[in-house]
Amino acid sequence: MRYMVAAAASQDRLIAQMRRGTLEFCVLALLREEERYGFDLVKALGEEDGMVTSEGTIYPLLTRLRRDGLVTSTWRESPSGPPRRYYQLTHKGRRALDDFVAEWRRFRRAVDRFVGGGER
Amino acid sequence: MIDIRQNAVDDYIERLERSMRDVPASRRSEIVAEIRQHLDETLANLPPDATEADVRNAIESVGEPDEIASEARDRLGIRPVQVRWTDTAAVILLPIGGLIVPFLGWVVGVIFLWMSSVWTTKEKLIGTFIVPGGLLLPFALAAFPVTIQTCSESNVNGVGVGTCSEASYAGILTLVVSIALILAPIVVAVYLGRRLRTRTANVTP
Repeated sequence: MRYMVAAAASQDRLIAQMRRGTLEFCVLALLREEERYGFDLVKALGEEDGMVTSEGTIYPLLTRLRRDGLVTSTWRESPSGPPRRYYQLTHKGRRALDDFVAEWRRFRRAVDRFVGGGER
Repeated sequence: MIDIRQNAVDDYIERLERSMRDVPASRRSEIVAEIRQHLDETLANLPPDATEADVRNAIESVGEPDEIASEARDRLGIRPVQVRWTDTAAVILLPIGGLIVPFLGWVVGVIFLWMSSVWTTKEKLIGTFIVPGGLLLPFALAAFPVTIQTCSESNVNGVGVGTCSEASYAGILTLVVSIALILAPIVVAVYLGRRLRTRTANVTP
């Protein structure tokens, strides 16, 4: 019984870690076609169930991506309220995203082969 | 209604600022400003007849300040403040260490204080200089009362005659000084202890 509880807890942690690790690339991917501002990004991520648990946790990530030069930001007037910070993908960000996507496909294929998913 | 919303936002932002105290100011202000805007927009999207409960739910969906702060520390590679047993020991040894092991106990307290990564340099200076020796100082003064010798010399018929009087430092001044000397190390220890608690309370491992 105790083993099952511990296993469930460690599985939860693993899922949370995977989500957390891939979240930044989901953000980069959302910026591939168009620039977006924070609220808009959060809403887009929220459309996929379970991707964002607390909306506010996106902002530390955006700050880090900006510091790392993967995204850049520009202030733009908003139709309502104060100016908004719009995020754009940089060259470096695009490259990081492409690298991740290639790696992700390989990884997903490999795992699917063993756990038996992916065949449609 | 607008007031309730504004208060709720201000409240939340204040809690967030507090939780993120150990995040460098430039990054903290960037994150806080973005979250404030996010909150404003979230609340602006509520229907005009939204209740206070709706407002609270909307704010809750943004996340607990502590959770956002720990995410910020994680993403930005900021190590949470490490509390060691020596930090707690410093708070205890600074006032009473000198009484347990005369003087040396206080010295160990000072060493622990300066080893710590919890307090700022200013706080460490306060801890060191208020009061050197901690409670040892007032106790030592009580054991060996300060006496002042006042001497006067008068010339009597070409012969110098000295008269000396010894006066114990009595009265109200003694009382004030001893109370200050007893209270100061205790107040400083409480202050350092509270800093230790608040800086580490919001750190989730």
